[in-house]
Amino acid sequence: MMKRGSFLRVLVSRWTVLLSLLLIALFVIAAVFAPLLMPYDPFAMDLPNRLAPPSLKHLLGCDLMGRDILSRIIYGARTSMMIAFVSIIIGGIAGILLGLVAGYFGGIADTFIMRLTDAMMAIPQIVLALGIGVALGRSTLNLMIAIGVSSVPAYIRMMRGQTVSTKNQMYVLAANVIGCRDSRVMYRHILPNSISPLIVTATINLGGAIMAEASLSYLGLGVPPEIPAWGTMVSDGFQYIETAPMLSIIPGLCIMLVVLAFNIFGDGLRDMLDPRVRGSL
Amino acid sequence: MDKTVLDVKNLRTEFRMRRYTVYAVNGISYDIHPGEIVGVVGESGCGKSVSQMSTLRLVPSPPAHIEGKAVYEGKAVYEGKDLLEPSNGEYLRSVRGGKIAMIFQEPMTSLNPVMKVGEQISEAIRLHMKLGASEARARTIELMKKVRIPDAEERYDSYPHEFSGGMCQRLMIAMAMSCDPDLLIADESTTALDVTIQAQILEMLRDVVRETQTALLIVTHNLGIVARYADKIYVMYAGGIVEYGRASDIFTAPSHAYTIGLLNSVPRLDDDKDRMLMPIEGFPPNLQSRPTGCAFIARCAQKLPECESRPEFPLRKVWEEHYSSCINDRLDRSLRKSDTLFEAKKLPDETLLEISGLSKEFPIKKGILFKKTVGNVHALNDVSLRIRRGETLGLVGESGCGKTTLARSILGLVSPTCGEILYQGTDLTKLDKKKTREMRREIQLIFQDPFASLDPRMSIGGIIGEPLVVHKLTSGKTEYLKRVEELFVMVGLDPSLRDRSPHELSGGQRQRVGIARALASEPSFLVCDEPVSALDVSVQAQILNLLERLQRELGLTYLFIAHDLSVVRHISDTIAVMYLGRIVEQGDWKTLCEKPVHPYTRALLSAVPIPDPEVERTRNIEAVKGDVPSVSRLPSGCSFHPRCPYAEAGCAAAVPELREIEPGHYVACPVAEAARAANTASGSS
Repeated sequence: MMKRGSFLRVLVSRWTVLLSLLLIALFVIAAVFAPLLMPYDPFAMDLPNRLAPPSLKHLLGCDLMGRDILSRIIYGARTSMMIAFVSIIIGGIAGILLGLVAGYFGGIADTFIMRLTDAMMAIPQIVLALGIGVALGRSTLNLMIAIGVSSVPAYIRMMRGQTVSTKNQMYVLAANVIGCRDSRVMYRHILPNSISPLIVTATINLGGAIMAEASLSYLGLGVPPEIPAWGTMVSDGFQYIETAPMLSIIPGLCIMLVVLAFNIFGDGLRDMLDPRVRGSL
Repeated sequence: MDKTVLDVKNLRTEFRMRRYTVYAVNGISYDIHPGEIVGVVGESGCGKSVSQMSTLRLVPSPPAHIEGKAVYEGKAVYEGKDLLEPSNGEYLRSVRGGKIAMIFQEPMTSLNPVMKVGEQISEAIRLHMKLGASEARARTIELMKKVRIPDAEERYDSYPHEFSGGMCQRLMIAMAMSCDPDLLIADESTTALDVTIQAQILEMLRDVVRETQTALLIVTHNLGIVARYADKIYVMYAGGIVEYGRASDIFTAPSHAYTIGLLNSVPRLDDDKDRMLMPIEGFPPNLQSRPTGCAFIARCAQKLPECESRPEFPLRKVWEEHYSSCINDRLDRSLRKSDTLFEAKKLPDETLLEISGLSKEFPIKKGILFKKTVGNVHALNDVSLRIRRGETLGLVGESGCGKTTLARSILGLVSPTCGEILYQGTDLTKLDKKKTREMRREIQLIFQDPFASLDPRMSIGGIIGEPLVVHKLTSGKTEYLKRVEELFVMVGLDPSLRDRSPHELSGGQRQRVGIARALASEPSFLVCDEPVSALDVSVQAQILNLLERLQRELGLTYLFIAHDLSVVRHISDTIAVMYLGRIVEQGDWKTLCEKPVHPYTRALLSAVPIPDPEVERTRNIEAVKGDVPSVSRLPSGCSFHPRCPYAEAGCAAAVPELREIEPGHYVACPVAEAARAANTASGSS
């Protein structure tokens, strides 16, 4: 394991990574403390103010129903972030477990899991998520499941590869020799030694999950329409793109910034965890 | 002797990293004369390789990947030109590879796998000597003959993977010799090879350089090699030369405490009694601060009061052409201390482990979809062994002879094709998974590579305590911690290291961790698979002594696997010699080492150089021909017959049986047995 100090030093030594981290922090804080930060109730309609341009009273203006856009963006961060994190956790845990089992035991388990993975890999992730979303129906939980499950194959592949290479390390043999059960070998020895590239991928995928959420919401398969989410906001505002362009542009900008931030941070994380790159930073 | 080939003066190499500097070479001077064989010895990290690379500017500067700088302050003068002078860069390139050639440790990775070997050699010739294609080809074949590659003309068009490791190293030597170099630098070039092959290569190399009057610089950690081959020896420690002189002087009258320590810590094949090794305590210093004073002082057993205060230890003359930086004039040079001798072990005649008729075949599969078995690798062939309680059985053999497969079969990591392994009456091969796991409390393994066998994400305490957790051997946290501390102390580790990670420890400490982990479940039988071959000699002696002490204190039984006969001879009560999956000779250590019968045992014993030039001058190496055959195509009859100097027509016909020729001494060679019988008959009449 590396020292804490060098980890932070690498982090700070690249301004892009630092900036992306600050941006992520900003959105996470907005999501967590949404009720305190929102200037208005995001659900409160104020018809006289519909499609109001940005002003001192409503910093980002108002939407079709006269709801405050800034408040909806902040609340939307909450929805989008939650969906992204939960779906990544669902996909990550399932993928890591299946990949670990496939890689460690090999044989029939491996063949079965990997052929299933290949089949799922044949369908583009967003199409797969779309299919699952349609099948389960429209709700926030189902959306998270759809995004999570559609990302599982990538994690399985990666974890399996990691497990196969870690499995042949001498310390895994040593664990077998002292009499560890398979479960302990997998949990205590293989998992900690193969998980770091997966953490990096998961970080990068957070951006992808927000994109998927936005895409599905845009297509009307996302969160229920009354709950503010960035994707839904883009899609709702699209009809008024000529009269009130801010309606779509602002949530779109938020999506772009968060996805970019997660990607840059993920790249930085990968470099930090790679000792060969770390030395040169 | 007036003309020098290479004269290095005050060479310094530093690696300037971002946050620290490694002072790898600190002002060393040396010279080499034509036709001379010079040995540079030292432990890992002492700067012996870096100094050679530095003179040829082969150290990355500025490094492409490692952050830092290598600063040269020294002067390497070649034909009057300084190789280290930056303006001589073009000149250096013409010298490097042409006039000064290097041979590295890994022959397999030094050859381009997609190019025919002949072309690789002739490419260098055409580049440096500006010869035409056909002339270069003729010269290549001539060189391949010189390094004794059989059927050189036909092998010209072979690819590297068609050659064995030893043959590849010959090719590397041929390539290095291709442009008539004045100096050949062999950097640990035989370390990766088996002893019989190592002996073949070194004998050949010596003949070639003697014939062509090429100077040879051997960089090695093996004292036996320099004793046999070198004319002059430089001993390096912590980036500096601590002693140099003629080989005979260095070995008969070592004048630096470190040299004496080194000689004391290696087991020798000709030790007249079972002597206890005298390790150098402690570990070499890390070179992150500029060394002042004597670098060896912290580990020195013979330091004087004034050693502490002296700022500098320049090399001073102790004898004709013999220099040392040690200021102690009355060094204790006695290599063997009778008072440190272990008392002889009394072994009860109780069998702990008995292996009978054990065989293991690994199928070779070919095909993409429907894998067909096209052949078998015979890793073990009808192996039978008996290990008594409290005994150390040494198992020797070259790489690929099945030593590790045997070890893994005993531990239940490999299931044998047939045969049985009886441990106190229980057949280990018939146990189910759960029983095997329980058996692991009793039988433990010590690994060759201490670093690779420790989980990098766990703390040292966690690693040592894991068997206790797995087998639920302690109840409660306090008992667990107490037991872990006990284990730390038992193997000579400081319990305060508990929370460290494996990478923070030195090689010797890591091997102690491996031993402590193996001992945690209180086993009675330990399989040691090359436990010291990855360690430096001074540390190797510490570990060997530790194993011997633990055996006496805990009544352990060892199966000690190694390729180094002198180590095996030192630690074992009984020795078994394996060749291609079969045991060819077995007997108690004394009989086996002093009166070996099987031709393979004899070849193996004679291939090990002894760190004493006096002995080496008169000793003839009983060379074996050729390489170890592939285990997938075993020779018929006795596997050793194609390489055996005494092979007769009958040897290829039948597999010789392991027969008891005198009590406790088993040999699988009817020819040698008959010769021995004839000898004793003529001797007695």
